[in-house]
Amino acid sequence: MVAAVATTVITAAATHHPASRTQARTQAGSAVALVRQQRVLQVDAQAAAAGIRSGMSRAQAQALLPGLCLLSPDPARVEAALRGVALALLRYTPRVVLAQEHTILLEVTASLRLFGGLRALWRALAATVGTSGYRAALACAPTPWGSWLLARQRAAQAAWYQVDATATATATAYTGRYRVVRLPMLVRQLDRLPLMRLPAAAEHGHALEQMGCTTLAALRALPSAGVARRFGAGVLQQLAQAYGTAPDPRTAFEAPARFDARLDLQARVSHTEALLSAAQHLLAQLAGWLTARHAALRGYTLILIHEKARGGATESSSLPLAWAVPSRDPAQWAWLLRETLARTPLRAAVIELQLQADAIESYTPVAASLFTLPGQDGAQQTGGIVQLTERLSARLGREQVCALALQADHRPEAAAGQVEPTLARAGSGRTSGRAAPGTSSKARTSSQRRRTVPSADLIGAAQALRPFWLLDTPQALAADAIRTAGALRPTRGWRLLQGPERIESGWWDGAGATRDYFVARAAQGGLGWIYRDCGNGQWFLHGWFA
Amino acid sequence: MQATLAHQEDIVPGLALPSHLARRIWRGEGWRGGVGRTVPTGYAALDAELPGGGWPLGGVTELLLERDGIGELRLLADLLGRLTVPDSATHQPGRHVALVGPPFQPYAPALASWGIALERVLWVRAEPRHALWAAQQVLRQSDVAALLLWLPAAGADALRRLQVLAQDSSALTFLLRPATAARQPSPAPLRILCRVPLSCPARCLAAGDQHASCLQLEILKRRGPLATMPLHLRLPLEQGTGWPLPSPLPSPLPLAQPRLIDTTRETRDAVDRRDLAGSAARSGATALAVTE
Repeated sequence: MVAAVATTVITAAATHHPASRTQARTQAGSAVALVRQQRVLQVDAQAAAAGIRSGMSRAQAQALLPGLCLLSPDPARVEAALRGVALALLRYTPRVVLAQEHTILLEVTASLRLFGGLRALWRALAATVGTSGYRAALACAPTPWGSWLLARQRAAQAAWYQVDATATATATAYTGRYRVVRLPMLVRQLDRLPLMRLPAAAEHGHALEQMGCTTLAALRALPSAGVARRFGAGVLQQLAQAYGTAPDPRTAFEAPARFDARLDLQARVSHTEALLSAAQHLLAQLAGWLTARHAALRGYTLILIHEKARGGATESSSLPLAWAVPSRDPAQWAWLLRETLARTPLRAAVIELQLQADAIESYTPVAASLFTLPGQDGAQQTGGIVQLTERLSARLGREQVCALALQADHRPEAAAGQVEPTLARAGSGRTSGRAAPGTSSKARTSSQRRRTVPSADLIGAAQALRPFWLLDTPQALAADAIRTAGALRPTRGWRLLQGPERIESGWWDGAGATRDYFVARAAQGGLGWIYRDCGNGQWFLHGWFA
Repeated sequence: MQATLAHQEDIVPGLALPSHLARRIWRGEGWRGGVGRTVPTGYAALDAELPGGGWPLGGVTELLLERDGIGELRLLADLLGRLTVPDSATHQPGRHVALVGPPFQPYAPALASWGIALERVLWVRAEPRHALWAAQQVLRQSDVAALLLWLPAAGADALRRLQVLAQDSSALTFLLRPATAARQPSPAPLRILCRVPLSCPARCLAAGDQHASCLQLEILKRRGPLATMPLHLRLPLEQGTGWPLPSPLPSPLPLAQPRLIDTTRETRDAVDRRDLAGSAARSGATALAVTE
């Protein structure tokens, strides 16, 4: 059995019109209607509320609502919009077919189990089409033509979609189901559909209807030889394919070799939330494209095209995003984008978005184990931690979240290293850092690679007494009143307990230090780690034994 | 103030509560055990003072520090070591520990010498306005074993939010604040004031003990009777000196039975009593627990 879901993409959603490019950038908030040959094709919710219906003349519509914005459909952009939705739907099945009249067919038999059954898949499909900015009429049937017919019928009956007046007239109240799984049930449902839904029959105008043949059941009852002689074999062929008695091979939609998505915003956008929801359309496409390519992503760049300054050239700014573990979860990408957008001020209003997939890697799905063994959930644990650090660094900044490491250096300030948490995982074997968006991060990544060594090798070196808190810059202590040359006198307010520990190192890189370290008790309590600079004899506080 | 928790039978003779009610009623004499899961602190003297014998899971532990760097990390270091290093005996994998908003740089060599697995220590530098958010993210993560949060100026709503998050979390939650916050009411079930003792009964200060320093812990609030005497802990400067630690003092409270609270305490404890009454009320024992 072949199950197919037909998704009729409706272009009258309020957010995006694949209408002509020059007209498309309207004032946000005005009612919109699509007009072809002086007739209204589609209206949005606001225009429908004003009483404008499809099939009205242009003058009539403008009389009803003087501020109505009239757009003419642009077939190229409609096609591009449909391809974008098809790309996003590649997440659910590799067999996606672009069918007639803004309809997309998906073969979902093999996907049902993966996505948790037909109902769950149904909801996911509706959500994905919704994320892309369109509304869909979903139907499911064992044959491609069957599902196509049901979906078209459903769209014709939907309040928000009236393509032409004749369609509304012939949409006799069909009260059947749109989710059909078994063939006998499909036969019963199709029999009740109006004949004009079948494209091959609609070609012949009202000839069949005038014969008294208004439903598919009536057409099936006619002698086939006569129908073939008078209307050609095409009608019977399509009928047989819809009822599942003839084979129906289709050519699947193929994802482009290179991902390049752009989105014209209908209005000037300067608000982060609006920008985010527009970017989610592109991210949904990217997720579908990655699934079709069996790939995952470690970073993308969102390019914002700004409104032209007066007479100037188009400006653009790019937002690079990167994360550590390859992922194909658009929710995570959107989350990171939200944090990045919240931190980035927009230079000007945005009129177009472009999305570039930067770091594409092969996808390794997480293998789920049947039994949870204590040693095995380590991988899942680190996965959770990686997500946690992604979240934290997305808001706080990449430099602010780190794991600790030891470095082979005797100078206390150089003996502690900070590494990115994902690099610190022992045995991960990853040598490359995150894709560095800025120069400072690049410099840091290279310095990490330089000398960070596994902790076990350096435990011996760390055996000397070290404080838990280290001051970023040593704090100069008040100069001692009596400074005797050669004699070690504690600075005022400190009582030396242990030491000295001479640390003399770093003469080779210009940051040399010769210091005598002591454990000392502060007058107000607490144990400090203080040192005397052997060069000038000054005392510094460098840490606390917290 | 008289705490008469144990004499409930005297008040209502022959009253036997259904088990589901009995579990919810907080009784003074049973505070050492059965107050939820705890993790041993590593210091026997401190364990004896804490309800359940350790740091409580599912609640904020507030450490009020006289100053930063007086020994708060040495107090927790043994715990952090146990949490981060995988335990081969129990097949417990090493878990992560997060330090959010510490006042100084946590020094990796010192942590390593205490046996803490560095790769499982997450250091989050967060400004105070982001620290609470970061702590929320950490607490929602089930893999984190402990959170150390420095929040010098935390409002009442922030504390309450943290306590709610900690209740649902599987992580030990430590909130480190300055000692001045001791006067502020807090929903944390355990509050400990940490200070450097002026005189130490164990004479570690007088003797110039070079390997340890003393920390005076005053338990301001706990799910149990009021602690009457501060606790002195001798904290070694490095792991291994004098390990396991001898308990420097016998447990100061013979707490086997409920007792009258000494009324000649310092004025500061007025705050604590309110807290105790509040926590008792929250435990659902309003009618039976406290009579002033």
